[in-house]
Amino acid sequence: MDPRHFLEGVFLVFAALLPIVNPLGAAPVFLAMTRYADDTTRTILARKVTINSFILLMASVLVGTYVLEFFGLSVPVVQVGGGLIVCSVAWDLLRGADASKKSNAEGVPDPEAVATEAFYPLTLPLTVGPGSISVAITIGANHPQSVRSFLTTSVSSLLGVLLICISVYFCYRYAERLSKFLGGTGTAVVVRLSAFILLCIGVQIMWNGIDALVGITGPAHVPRP
Amino acid sequence: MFDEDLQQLIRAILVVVGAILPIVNPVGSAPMFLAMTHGADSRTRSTLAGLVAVNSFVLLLGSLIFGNFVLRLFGLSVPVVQFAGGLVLCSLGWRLLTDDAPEAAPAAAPQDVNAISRAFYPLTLPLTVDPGAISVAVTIGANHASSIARILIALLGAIIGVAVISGTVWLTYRYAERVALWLGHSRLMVVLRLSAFIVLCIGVQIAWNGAKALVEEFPFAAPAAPTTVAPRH
Repeated sequence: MDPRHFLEGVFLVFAALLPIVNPLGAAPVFLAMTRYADDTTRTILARKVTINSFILLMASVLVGTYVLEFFGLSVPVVQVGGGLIVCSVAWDLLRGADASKKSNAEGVPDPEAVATEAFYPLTLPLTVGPGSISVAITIGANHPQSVRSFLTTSVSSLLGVLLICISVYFCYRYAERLSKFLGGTGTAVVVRLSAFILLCIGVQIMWNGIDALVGITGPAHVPRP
Repeated sequence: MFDEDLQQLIRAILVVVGAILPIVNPVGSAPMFLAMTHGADSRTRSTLAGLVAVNSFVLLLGSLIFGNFVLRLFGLSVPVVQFAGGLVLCSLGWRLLTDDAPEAAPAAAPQDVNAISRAFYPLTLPLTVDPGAISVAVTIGANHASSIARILIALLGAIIGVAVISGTVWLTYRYAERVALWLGHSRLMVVLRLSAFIVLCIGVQIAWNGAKALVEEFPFAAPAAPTTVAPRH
């Protein structure tokens, strides 16, 4: 096992995924979506989201290509579909002024309902979005030939994904301190602003997918700028 | 030397004010401000005017200085921000246009706390500082000068320019109510519906500008000037 290749692999996975998973950016959104939850629930949620993200990312790296092949999907299609979901989540969050009132009236929701939220929408479109999934699939797509190098890549991507998930956990776990520091109005502003950025991200992911799709089906012989 | 710096400072201020003020257009959005704060009393409204002005200042200055950085961090392009923001503005205009609450709203007058929590969204973000203004601010901020002295001058110019804009916002929103009293209820409703329709149109325009810039990236589209398309990552 070549240690230098191994470290490069870890770094590649980490550097490619971190800006897209972007736990720092997603932390205010996480706060906004769990604003009715208390401190303990939020800690549990942070842990669950981290574990979910780890499994989802690892699965995308290892078997993502095969799943896409099995269903006959292409990566741009996943981006378009996923971008739509991100847009819809962001839209709800942006228009969420009435939702906060509603949940206040309902009181504390049961932990069962909170736990079901840990996968959708907290993990799937929010933390590990379609952008991250498509990058993870692309990382996994160039599988090496020999068994030994396959093992090396698998272990290095495992470590890279693990590092990503650890940073997700810390950002989400301490998101509440950030909100206390910002105060009520400050948090509201940050939440709205990040909801707007999330909407833009959704449009961007969708657009990247559409661009790739049209590039495939359209006259591809025209040189791209 | 000093004269040159002063000249450059004035130019920086004029660029910021001249480019952003017509888009922020406080006089045009003052009726919308009135409509969205319908039912609030005079004191709440003047607090809101102050808050919106401060928010606008921070948001515009933030877009000028960090806008480019934030876009790069999230891998976004300016046309995408325009498209998404245009959609948000459309939805706001649509809601104001089709909303028939203002008739007897005082019965359900919103609490002060509630009204103040709306100072950022929707009063500041899509209404006062719309995505068009944000994208212009990001574009102005994108071409930073090279030397430190130039950067400082540009920064100072940006701060003063944005301060002028938010000052205008504050003044117009603060005295919007007097205009409303002078107009009377029924005429005010006409102005409100009209400006709601205009907001809807502005939203469509911004979304269209974004969509157009995006579509021009397509290989089969007309060979447009490449400068209109922001680099994608």
